[in-house]
Amino acid sequence: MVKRFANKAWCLVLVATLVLPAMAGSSKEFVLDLPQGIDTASSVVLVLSEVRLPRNAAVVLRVRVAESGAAEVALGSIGVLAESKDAEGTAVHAALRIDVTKTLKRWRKDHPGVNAMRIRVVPYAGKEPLASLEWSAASADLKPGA
Amino acid sequence: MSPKSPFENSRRIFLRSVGGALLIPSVAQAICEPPGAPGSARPWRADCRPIRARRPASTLAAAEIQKLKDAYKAMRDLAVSDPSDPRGFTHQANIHCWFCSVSPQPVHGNWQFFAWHRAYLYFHERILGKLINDSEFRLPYWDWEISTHRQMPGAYTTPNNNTNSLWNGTRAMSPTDELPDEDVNEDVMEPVYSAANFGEFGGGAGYSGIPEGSPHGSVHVDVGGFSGDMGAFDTAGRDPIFYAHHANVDKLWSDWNKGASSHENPSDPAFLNLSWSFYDENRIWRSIKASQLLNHETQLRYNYGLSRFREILPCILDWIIVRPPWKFDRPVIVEPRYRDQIVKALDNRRPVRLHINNVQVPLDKSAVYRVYADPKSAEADEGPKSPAFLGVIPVVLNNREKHHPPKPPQVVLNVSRRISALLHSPDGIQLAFVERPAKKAKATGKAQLLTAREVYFSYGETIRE
Repeated sequence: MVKRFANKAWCLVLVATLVLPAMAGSSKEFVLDLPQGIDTASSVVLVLSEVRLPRNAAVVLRVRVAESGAAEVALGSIGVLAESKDAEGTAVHAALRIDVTKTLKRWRKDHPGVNAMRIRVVPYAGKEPLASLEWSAASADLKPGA
Repeated sequence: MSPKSPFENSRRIFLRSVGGALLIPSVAQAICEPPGAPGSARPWRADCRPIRARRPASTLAAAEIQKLKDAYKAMRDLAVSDPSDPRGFTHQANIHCWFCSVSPQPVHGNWQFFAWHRAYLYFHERILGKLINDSEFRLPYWDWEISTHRQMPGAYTTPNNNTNSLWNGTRAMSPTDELPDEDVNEDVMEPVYSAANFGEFGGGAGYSGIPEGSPHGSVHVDVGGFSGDMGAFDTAGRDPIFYAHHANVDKLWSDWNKGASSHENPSDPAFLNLSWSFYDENRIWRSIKASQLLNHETQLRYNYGLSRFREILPCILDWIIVRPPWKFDRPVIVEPRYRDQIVKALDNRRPVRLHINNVQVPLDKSAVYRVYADPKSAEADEGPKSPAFLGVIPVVLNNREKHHPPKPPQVVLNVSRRISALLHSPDGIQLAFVERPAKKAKATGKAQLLTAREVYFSYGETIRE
C-alpha cells in the first residue's frame, strides 16, 4: 500500500516536473483591449513593449489567440536574433511590432462585437517552443493604423 | 541566465566543434573586429558592369550552382591562404559581426537596415565575381515567400556536409525541414508589400520597419535555431544562406518600391547621406552613401525578375470566408446565396479555396488520401483527371516516434478550377476520400465519407485591381 502510494506520488512529481514547465513555461498571456476603429483600420499592429530577452537568445515569438477549447489561431510572429551566443545579461527591446491586420480581421469575423481578447505569446527556436526561457514583456497593445 | 537550447544535443556540439573547425577554421575562432581602418576611404565609383538579374536559388541551372559553389570555395580558401585579405570569408562574415553587434553605428533596428545590407551584399557579390573572374556573377535569392520554396535551396544543402562550400553545420533546419508557414505566408507578406510609407516598411532613425522582425528575423531564427550561426548577429554572416536570405530581403525593398508611386524612399538628407565603407573586389577601401544605393538597377547593376507571388498577391486584399451549413451525413446542396458568391469569384478568376479542419482520416500510418466531391468518384478513384477530384490530404507520422499519431490534419485545397460545375450539381456535394494507391498498384476502391470539424470556402477579394 505504502509502496503503491509512493509510486503514485513519484509519478505525480514526474508528471509535474515534465508538464508544468511546459505549461507555465515560457509562454506569457495578455488581455488586449480592441480599440475603437479596429475593424476599419487599414492596418493593425500588435506592440509588445519593454521586451526583455537574454542577449544570447535567438527566438521567434509566436502570438496565438488564447481561447479554451478552440483550435489555436495564429495572429503573427516576430524573430529576434541573439546578439551573440556568448553574450551575457538581458537585452531590452523597447517595442517589438507585429502586423496582425489580416489575421485579426479573420478572427473578428467569428467574434463580432467582442471588445477584448486574450493572447498567448510563445517563444520558439526552430520547430519547438522553448520551455525554460526567462523573458518578459511589460505590455501588449493593439495599435490601429490610419 | 543561460537558457538551454532544445537542439543542444551531442550531435550539434560535435558538428559545431568539429565540422566548423574543419571547414572554416579561422571563422570558428573569429572575433568581432572592425572591417578595417586603412585611413580615409575612396568614394565609390559609378558601376558600369552589365545589368544582370539576381535569380531564385531554386531555379539555378547545374552550371550556375557550380559557379556559386566555386565562388564561395574561393572565398573560403582565401581566408586560409591569406588570412589578412579582407575579401576572405572570415573577414566577410565579420563585417556583419562588427556592424551588427559592436559598431557605434548600429545597422539594425532603424532605417539603415535595408540600405546597409544592400551595400554589404553588393560588395560581397562583386568580390565573389572577381574570385571566379566573372563580372556577370550575381547572388541568388531564397524566395521563401513562395509556399513551395520553404525548404532551403538545394544548392545550400546538397551535399549536406563540409565538402559543400555553401553548407553550414550549425543550422537547426534540416534539408527537408520547411520554414513555418506563419512566418512567411501571405498574412506576413501582404502587409509588407502594402506598407503605406517607408517608416512602416523600413523604419526611421530610431525604430525599425515591420519586415525587419518578420519575415527577416523569423527566417534567421528558423534556420539557425537557438544556437546556430544564423540566429545571432555576430555569427549570421558565417552561413552562406545568409546572403541568399538577405538578397530576398533586398528584393522585398525593391518590390515595395515598385508597388505604388507613394512607396518612396526617405528624402531626408540624414538618411541620404548615411555612409558606410567596405573593401571592394580589388581590396580598395570604398565608401558608399545611401543615396547611391537606392536604384539597384542603374546604380548597382542588378535587378530581380518578377516574382510569381507578387504577380498574384498585390491584388488580393483579403480572403472572404463562405461558410455553408455543412453536414456530413447527407449530400450538401450549396445554397444559392453561398453558391452565387463562389461562382462570382470563380467568374472573376479569383482563387477559391476549400478549408477542411480536423479532418477524420486514419492516423495510424503514413499515407496520402485523395479527396473527391462525391463518393462515386472517390470509388472510381481516377485521381487528378477526375472532374470531382479536389486534392490530397497527406498524413506523415513522426519519424522518430511512429507510435504517436499526428493531430488530425487541417487542409486547404485550391479548388478554383475544379468546383465550378459541382456547385451547380442537383445532387449536391458530399466529400469522400480514398487512400492513394502506391505507384503501379491498383486502386483499392474503399472510399469513405469524409468528416471533419468544419468545412468552408474562402475566396480572394481583389478589389484593388
